[in-house]
Amino acid sequence: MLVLAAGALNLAEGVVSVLDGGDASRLAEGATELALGLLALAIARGTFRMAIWAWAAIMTWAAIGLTDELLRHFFYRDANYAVMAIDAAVVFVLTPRDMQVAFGVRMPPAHVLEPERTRAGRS
Amino acid sequence: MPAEAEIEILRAFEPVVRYTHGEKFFPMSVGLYVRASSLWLHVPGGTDEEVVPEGELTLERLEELRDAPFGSVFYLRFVQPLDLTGSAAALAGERKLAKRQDSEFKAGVGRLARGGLLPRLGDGLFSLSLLLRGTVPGATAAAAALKYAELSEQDPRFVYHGRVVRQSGWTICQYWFFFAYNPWRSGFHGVNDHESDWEMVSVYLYERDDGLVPEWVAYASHDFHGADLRRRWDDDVDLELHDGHPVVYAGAGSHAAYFHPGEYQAVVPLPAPRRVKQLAAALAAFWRERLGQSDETRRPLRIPFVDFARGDGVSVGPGQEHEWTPVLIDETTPWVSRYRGLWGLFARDPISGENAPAGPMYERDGTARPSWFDPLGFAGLAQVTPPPQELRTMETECESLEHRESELDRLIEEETDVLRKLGVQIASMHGSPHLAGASERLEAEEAERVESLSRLRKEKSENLAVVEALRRGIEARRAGDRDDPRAHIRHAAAPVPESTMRFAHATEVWAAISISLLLLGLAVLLIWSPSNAWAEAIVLVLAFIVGESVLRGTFVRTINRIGVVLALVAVVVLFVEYVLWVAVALLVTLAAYLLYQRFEEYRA
Repeated sequence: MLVLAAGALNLAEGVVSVLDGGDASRLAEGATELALGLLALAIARGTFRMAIWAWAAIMTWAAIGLTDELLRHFFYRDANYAVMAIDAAVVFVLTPRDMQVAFGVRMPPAHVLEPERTRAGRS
Repeated sequence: MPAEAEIEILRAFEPVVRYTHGEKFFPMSVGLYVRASSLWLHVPGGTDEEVVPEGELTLERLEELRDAPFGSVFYLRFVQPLDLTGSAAALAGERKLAKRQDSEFKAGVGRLARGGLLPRLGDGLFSLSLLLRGTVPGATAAAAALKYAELSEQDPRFVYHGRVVRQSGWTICQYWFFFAYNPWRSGFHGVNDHESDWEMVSVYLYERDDGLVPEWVAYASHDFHGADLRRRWDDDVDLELHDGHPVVYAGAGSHAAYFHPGEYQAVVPLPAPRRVKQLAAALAAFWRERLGQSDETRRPLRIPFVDFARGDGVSVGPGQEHEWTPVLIDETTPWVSRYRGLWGLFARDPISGENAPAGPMYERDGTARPSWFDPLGFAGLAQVTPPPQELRTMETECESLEHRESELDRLIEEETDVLRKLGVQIASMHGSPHLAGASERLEAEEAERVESLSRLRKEKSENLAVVEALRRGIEARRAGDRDDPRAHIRHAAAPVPESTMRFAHATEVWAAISISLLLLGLAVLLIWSPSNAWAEAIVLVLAFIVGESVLRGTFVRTINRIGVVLALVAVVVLFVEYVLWVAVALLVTLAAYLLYQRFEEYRA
């Protein structure tokens, strides 16, 4: 749901930016947000199917989003804190071991194999 | 015990040492080395002075006691100072020698590819630190290899300096191996170089009617201490025996001893202030325990180096291509006890990695070496009883604990009796205001005695458990059973598995160039876009980390780590930006929760 929400938010922002018009850079920014929104919706579909690639894609997308917003906050003071909060929430939701096991990112603890130990030779 | 008998014991259990192909220095006689060296004195604040020149030094002259001011260091020089021409000649000569001897070393999988970006950055800083620290001058390793090759032609023997010592029921054979040079850094991508090297293997024996029986063997190694250094003779997982002789795999250049052949990831602590290390350790613990990240217990701020102990080179020992020549030493051997200086160049390295070691009996600062004066403590054996006395010791301890148990029964009985009397007295005082003071004193005494009784009961309960365990142990010993030979091992060195060393060519190339590329990229950003340099530098570093993880096949783990770090920073940012709203939300939530609870209580 968080991915859907974040995707929808990006999509809406993109649509508003494109419809508002403005200079080329503003339009480019809007188009990027639009593309990101569409991508997020596609990932959300994978998430409902608990696909490992979707977990990696959401995490990557959240990391990129967080990097962008944090840099905007620290260096340009124009961060979108709603996106930042959603991205942080996405990371915290996907990180727990149980969630990673459910997506197949990690093996359940019982499946961790002991490292192979060779026996020393005797002659 | 006569010297011949001691030599016989040493011979019976001497190790087989397998070196790595490419090793240039092997255990040699100290006499040969000293005759080819000069003796120097370093006085703090002054220039180094040659005390005895090369060609005139002998073991007899070395052991002469000499006065020197506090802080002075006596040291040997195997390789005399080299000028530019001498250095070039040494390097060329060494290359020819390696070809002639077919002893060129091939690292195989690149060392750098085995660690991530951060360890490689640490490695880069470590390399830079060598510019600031005192180090063994370049080409010294090559000159030492040429000189050693010359000496080994004069005396081709492989020598160990053996010592037999008896302590607390154990007979300990110490095999000290002396090398002319430790070329770990210059020859095998390791941590340090230094002139001369001492390594040691100990075999711990106990006496039986039919002679001495080996029980433990300890190999000196990096990063391990105490009980982790030793293996029991019947430990067929770790201890390889060849006709009753322990097999040692020696690290290339470092000469450190290992139980299994392979390539070991030796870790070297990155010099950092204590507070920084504590902070890093706390963050790592938070990362693992609170955030549930990676299960591996990684030690922070460490640089990985590889110790190649492949065992595919020269093999020395009984039944091998080369046999040992033993030389007996003990506290009365003058060069052992009277020369407290360094056995090679004093490089003035403040962290000592490049300074030569002292002899078998002393540390670099001239104090006694624990492995010499306390060989049992060195391998964590001070508390271990030799097998023939083990059963008797267990029986005595069991008897003593059983005796204590009867004593505890009596004490508990007495204490209970006293407490009951106190209880009766205190109860009878209730309702008598004039006895308030006396009642208070008795209640204090009662509290103390209750505590003491509880301690006695606890001791009895623990004693019972120990006695039970001892009885089981005694029965097992009587039946001839022994405990797990590996029960004492907490940390064991294990070679890096082959599967984790398979890197694509691209990864190796990336490992070699990435740090330099990153630094160049940062430089370009500074020139190209100085106003945004910080933000762009952060993006560049993140891109390098992600790129690295793709090549190493750890993308998912890495992106998760980056995400968690960024999310934590974002939480702090959001908290600071919306502190008022956060406080309001907290208060509203708290109020709603309390309201719900009270309402439920009211309804009930």
